[in-house]
Amino acid sequence: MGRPHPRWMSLHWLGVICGLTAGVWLGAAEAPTKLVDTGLSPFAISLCMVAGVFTARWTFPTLLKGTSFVVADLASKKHLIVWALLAGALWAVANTLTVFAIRDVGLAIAFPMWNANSLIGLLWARVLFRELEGAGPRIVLRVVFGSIAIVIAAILLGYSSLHGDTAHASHAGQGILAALGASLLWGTMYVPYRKAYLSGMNPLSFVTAFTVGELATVLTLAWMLGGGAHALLAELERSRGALFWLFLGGFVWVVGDLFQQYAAKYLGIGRGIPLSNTNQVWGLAWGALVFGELAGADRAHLALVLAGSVAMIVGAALISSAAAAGKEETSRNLALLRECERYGLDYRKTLLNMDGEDAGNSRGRRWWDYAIVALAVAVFVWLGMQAHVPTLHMRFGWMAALAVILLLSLIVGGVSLWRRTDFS
Amino acid sequence: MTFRKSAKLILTDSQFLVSLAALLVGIALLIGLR
Repeated sequence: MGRPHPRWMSLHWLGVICGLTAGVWLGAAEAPTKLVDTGLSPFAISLCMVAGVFTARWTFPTLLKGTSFVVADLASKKHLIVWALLAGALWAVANTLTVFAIRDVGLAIAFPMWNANSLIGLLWARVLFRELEGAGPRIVLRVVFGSIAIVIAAILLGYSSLHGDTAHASHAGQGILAALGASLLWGTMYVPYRKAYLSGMNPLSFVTAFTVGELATVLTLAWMLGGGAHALLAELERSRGALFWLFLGGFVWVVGDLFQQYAAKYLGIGRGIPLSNTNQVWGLAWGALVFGELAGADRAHLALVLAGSVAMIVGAALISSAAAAGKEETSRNLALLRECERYGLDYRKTLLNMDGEDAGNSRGRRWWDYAIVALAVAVFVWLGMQAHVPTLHMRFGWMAALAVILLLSLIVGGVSLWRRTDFS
Repeated sequence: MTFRKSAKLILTDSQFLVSLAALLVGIALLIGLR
């Protein structure tokens, strides 16, 4: 591993690159799931994707720092393991709530509600972590309007891909409650994220515990709400050919989430989460360009796509240009000091970690790291050998073009993180 | 830091309480919506 180069790029721009890369990958995560043509229940789909997320965590991310580093990092901040598990549970419960929301009020009403999660994240960022405290009015306005623009853009893009609504009006109240609940949970999930990074934890360590919390909660929910273990296993057995696509979706998602974690670390949640929420535009690009989901769309729908895309670019540009400086950085350091005083952490070391320095904690990879990676990859290969490819019309030219963007963003994001912080 | 002290610090941390409250709201909603 190379030494971090502090002068190579500012942490603000590193965070912006990570946030935008997260958007590209999180948006692409839905693409493989479109190849699932069997009648799996939403609980089984969620469980398989999260199992894929868990397995993918142990593929190439294992080689970035090695398990010795992750174990040492988790051991030095044991209290944060609870937070990461909590964040995983919040994600899983929110995801299940969206199933109920779609059932009861339909995507058209539910989607805008849970997409406001970044505004809830912004509220917690200000109230709990002193983000934007001491920032000038121009910076505050850019972040707030940028976040609102991205929420509006996500709603416009969401509407553009809707084709009818099958909701039951009699359960509208319940559906709205479920959607608002999902928004609350997905907005609050970023509290543990920020907490961990203000305490100097490495995102790879956080994601490790996060995926455990996520998998345990999804498993429990699928067990309890999906008809029990027997029904669940029978369902998975019937749909063996579809599992690879869900696991692949989980793989793409975990890459996006890792970049989102780094964005939360280097930008804060007020700026990092709206940038990651640009995933909507990439999700739509995969749906429309590869799977032809907008074929036959009228001019009104296409106008929504155009307006949504422009609003998203404006929002992302506003947030990207709102770098924290001066008093706002002092506020961040005060929030960090609170963590150090409360949990007995070394202030200087934590500050160095927060600024992308390992503070002598880097360790090499061991033989078992390679064995873990081989095992995780073998799971994907085994599932891939059983994968059923549905007869679905896809435009392979566009798929190749979006795959190139995916790869380029990974290279730019990965090299930036490596050169600037050595994945710290 | 002992386990007991660490648990006490976590359970009295406003940031933890906010996150836990959100999770409990979510679980209550799931039970209610079943």
